[in-house]
Amino acid sequence: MADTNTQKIDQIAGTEVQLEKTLEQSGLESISASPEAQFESTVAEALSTVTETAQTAKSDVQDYVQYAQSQDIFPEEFNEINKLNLEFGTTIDSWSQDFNKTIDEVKADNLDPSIAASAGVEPSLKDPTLGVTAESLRARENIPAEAPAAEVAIPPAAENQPVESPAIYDLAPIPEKSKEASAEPEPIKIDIPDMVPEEPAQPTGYTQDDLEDLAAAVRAYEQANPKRFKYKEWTMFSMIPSFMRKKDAWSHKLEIAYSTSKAKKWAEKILTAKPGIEFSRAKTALQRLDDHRIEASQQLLKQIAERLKPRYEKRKKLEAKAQFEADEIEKYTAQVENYRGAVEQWGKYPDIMAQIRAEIQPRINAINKRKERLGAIRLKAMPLLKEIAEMEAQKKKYETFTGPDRFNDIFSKLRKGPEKSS
Amino acid sequence: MTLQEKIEKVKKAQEKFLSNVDALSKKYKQDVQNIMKTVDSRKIAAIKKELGI
Repeated sequence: MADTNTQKIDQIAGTEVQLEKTLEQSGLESISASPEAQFESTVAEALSTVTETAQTAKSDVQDYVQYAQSQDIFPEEFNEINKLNLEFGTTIDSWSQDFNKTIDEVKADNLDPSIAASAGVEPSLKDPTLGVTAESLRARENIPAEAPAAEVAIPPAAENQPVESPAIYDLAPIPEKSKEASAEPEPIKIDIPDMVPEEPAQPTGYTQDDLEDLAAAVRAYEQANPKRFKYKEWTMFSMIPSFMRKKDAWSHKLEIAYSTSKAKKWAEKILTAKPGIEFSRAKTALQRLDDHRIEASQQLLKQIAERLKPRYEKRKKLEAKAQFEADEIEKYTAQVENYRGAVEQWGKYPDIMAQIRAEIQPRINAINKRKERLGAIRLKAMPLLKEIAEMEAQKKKYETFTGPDRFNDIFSKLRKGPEKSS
Repeated sequence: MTLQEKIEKVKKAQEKFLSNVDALSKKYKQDVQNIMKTVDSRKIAAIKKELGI
């Protein structure tokens, strides 16, 4: 039976070809212009379109998958996309099969001449056996077509096709490092004002040079007036006032060191002591002056300490503020530096980096703003620090002024007398 | 069924197929976009953490 059918099919197919040749030779209207030809043409065109569309759609999907993979996606998201991809392919295949089925059904509709006749369709010129075509015979006998025209062959998308980035995102070019971002960061210099005075205060008082000068003067006086050294001790001591008068610097230092009116009174007694008769009085005055100096120094130190205290507190607050700004600058600078590193690492994702940059930019601005604040704090602190430095110098001066020893040195030298010339 | 009706049926089936594929493609793209947005969010979070912001 199958052989018979096959022969019949071949016979019909041969008849079709023969008929077409006959038509061409007889100059009749081409078969392609007939309704049947139009139908075949429509079917062929539809199949071609559907096949191409399905193929393109699948290929697009592959592009998306490859694009997604190129974006270093996480496994979870990759699986989701894969799942979508599979569903997509399955659905397209299903629709393609539906379409093919429809085509087959439409074509198979030619098989039943009675239906065709009832529908008013004349037998085809191609079908001398009243509507039986080779294909319809195959369908009737359930013989699979060797090369069914209705097959929608959807080749798998080529995996190695060059992937064009689908327009999922508006893939703007990777932003060049803008001025703000690419500019080399200014080194963050935490410029905390120098809290230490540049030059240490020079302690005032009697220096070794002064004493040497005094001794030299005494020796010169002795040589010039040998008779007056009869009473060596008081004579030499009497040199002190005159020497002091001559030495403005010494006098000035005394005035500074003993800055109270009481101290000045004692100092004046020394300065005005008369040789010989006021030795004892001057010596006592000197001792009282020294005692008073110690007391006055302590008093002054106390006053300085009281004045320093609020200034230290103020300085501490300013230092804390400066440190806060410096810390913030350091923190933001580190973030900006990290961002620059991230740009290199993640630069191929401009949209992501654009969002990160939007958060970094305020920090860049903040760095500059905090630098300004730091500068303002420094300016504000400068006069305070200068004041503190001056007070600390005063304090150091009074702390290191060892009056009694110095006066003892003077007395010692004076009592020792001038060196005898050989 | 007349030939004209068959042609119409084929065309209709073709249109339906194309329309469905178009809609499915759009939905697929939208789904992928949403997934990629999630990916971006995760990446941004990771980068922020790395930057300490």
